[in-house]
Amino acid sequence: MRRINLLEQKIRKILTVVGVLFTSCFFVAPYMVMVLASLSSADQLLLTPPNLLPIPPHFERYLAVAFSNEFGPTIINSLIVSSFATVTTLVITLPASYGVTRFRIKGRTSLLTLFIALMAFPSVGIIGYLYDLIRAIGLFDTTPGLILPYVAFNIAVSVWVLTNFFKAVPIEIEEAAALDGCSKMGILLRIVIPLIKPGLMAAALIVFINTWNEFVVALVLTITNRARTIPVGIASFQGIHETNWSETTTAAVIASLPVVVLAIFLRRWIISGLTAGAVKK
Amino acid sequence: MQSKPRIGEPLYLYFLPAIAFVGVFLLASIGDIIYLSFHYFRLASPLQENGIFVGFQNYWNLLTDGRFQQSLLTTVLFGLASSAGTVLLGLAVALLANQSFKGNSFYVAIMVLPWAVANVVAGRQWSFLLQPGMGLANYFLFYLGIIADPLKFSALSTPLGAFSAIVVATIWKSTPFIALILLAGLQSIPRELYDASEVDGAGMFSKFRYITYPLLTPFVNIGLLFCGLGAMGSLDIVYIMTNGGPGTSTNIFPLFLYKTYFMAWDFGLGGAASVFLMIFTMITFFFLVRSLIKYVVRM
Repeated sequence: MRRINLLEQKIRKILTVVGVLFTSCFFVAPYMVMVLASLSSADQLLLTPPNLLPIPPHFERYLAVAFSNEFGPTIINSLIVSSFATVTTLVITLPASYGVTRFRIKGRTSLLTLFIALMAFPSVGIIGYLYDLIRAIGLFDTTPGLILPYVAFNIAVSVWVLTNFFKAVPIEIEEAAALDGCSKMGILLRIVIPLIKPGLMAAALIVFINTWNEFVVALVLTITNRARTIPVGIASFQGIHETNWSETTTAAVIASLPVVVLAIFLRRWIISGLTAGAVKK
Repeated sequence: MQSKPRIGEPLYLYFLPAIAFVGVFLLASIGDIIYLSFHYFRLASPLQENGIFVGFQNYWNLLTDGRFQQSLLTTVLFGLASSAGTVLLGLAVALLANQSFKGNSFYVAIMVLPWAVANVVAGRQWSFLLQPGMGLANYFLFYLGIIADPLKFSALSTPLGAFSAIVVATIWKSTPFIALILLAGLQSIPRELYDASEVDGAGMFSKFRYITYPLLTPFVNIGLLFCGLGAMGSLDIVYIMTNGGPGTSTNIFPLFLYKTYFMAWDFGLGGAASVFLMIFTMITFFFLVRSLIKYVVRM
C-alpha cells in the first residue's frame, strides 16, 4: 500500500507540472505574442515567420498611437467614463446593499433577489431601447450618456460583492454603536465602511474593469471621438488599406496592459469579490 | 442586526437611487421591447408607417426568418463547444491550482490575465495570431501537422476555421473566471473527507469520483449556466474576429440581434428578438438561481 501511494504521488506530481506548464502557456503566450508584436518594428512583422524579438524595442509607436487623433481621445473618454461610473455605482450601491442586509423591512428578500437577478440581464437585448432613450434625453454620443447605463448595469455585481462583505461584519459592533445613539447612516459611514474596505476595493476594481472593457453599449451609444471609448476605438482601428497590425497590436496593448497589471497585483480583492457568496464561510 | 426602523429615518432613501437607475435603464426596457415587438418600426422607412400596431407580425417574421433560425443553430453549436471547452479546461485548471506546488500563487495570478483583458482585445489578439504568414498560431498548427502551409492558411476565411477560432478565443477569455469559481468550490470541500477516505484506502481516482465530483457538481452547473448566458448574450469576440462570416457560419444570435437593430434598422423585429432573448435569459436564470439556492446558499 505504501508503494502504491508513492507511485500515486509521483504520477500526481508529473501530471501537475505538465498541466501547469501547458495551461500557463495557453493563457499567457497569446497575449505575450501580441505584446512582443506591439514592440517590434512593422518590417519585423512582415517576415515569415515573423521575428518577434523586439531588439531594439520600438516604444515610439506607443506614443504615436496614444497621441493620435484617431485613438488618443478614446483613452481620455474611457478614463472619464470608467471612473465616474465606478464612483457613482459605489455611492449608490453602498446604502442599498447595507439596507438589504440589515433592515427588517417588507420586500427585503425580493429586492435582493431582483438586484442579483439583474446580473444575468443581457445588455445586447436592450441596445435598441438604450439607443432611443439616450437620444431622447439628448445624451447621445456624450460621456454621461454612457456613464448612466453603465451604472445601471453594474449595480447588480456591486450589490452582490458588497452584501457578501456586509454579512461578514459582526452585528454586535453595530448594536453597540446604536445603543450609544449613533444613527443608521452614522453607523454605515463611521463603523461599517471602514470594516468592509476590502469589499469596496473588490467592487470598485470589478466595476472599473467591467466598464473599461464594455463594448456593445458603447458601440451603439457613441459615434464620434467625443465619447467613443477604447474598445470601440480598437474595433474601428484600421489601416488605410488593410489592418495595420503593428498599430493595432500597440493599441490593443495600450488598452489592456494597465488593467491587466492592476488586476494581477490586486488579484486578492478581485478573486474574493468574484467568488464571494459562491462559497459560504 | 435586523433592527426596527427608527422613526424619522426614511429607509427607502437607502434604496431609491439604485432602484431608480435599475428601473429607468433596465426594467423599463422590458416594457419598451414588448411595445416595439408589436409595432412596425423601421427607421429607414417613411415616418408615417412607423408606430403602426401590427399584432404578432414581427414575431411571425422573426420565427420564419432564415437568418434567425440559422443564428440559433449556430449559437447552439457555439454554446455547446465553448461551454464544454471552458468548463473542462476550467476544471483542469482548478484541480491543478488546488494542488500544492511551488509557484501556486503565481499560477492563480496568471488566471487573472485573460479575465482582465477586454473581449475586443482578446478578439484582436486571436485574429492576429491566425493571420496567414505573420500569425504564430499558424506555425504552431503547421508543426503539429494540422495545416499544410502557414503562409496561405487563413482560419478566419473558412467556415469551420472561423467557427473553431471564435470557440478557442471564447474559451481563452472565459475559462479563468470559471476556473476561479470551481477553485473556490474545491476549497469549500472539507479536508476531512479526503483524510477519512485515505484511511479507507481510496486512491486518487476514487477520491475524485466519490468526493470531488459530486460536491463540485453545483459549481460546474453555475459555470455552464454562465457560459450559456454568454453565448446568447455576448457578441464582442465574434464581432471583432469574423462579424458573423464567412457567409453566416459564425453569425451567432446576439450578432443577429445587433444587425437587426443597427444595420437593418428594424426596431420592431429587433424588439421581438429581444423579447425572445429575455425569455431565454429568464429560463436560464431560473435554473441558475435554483442551483445557487439549492446547493450554495444553504451550504
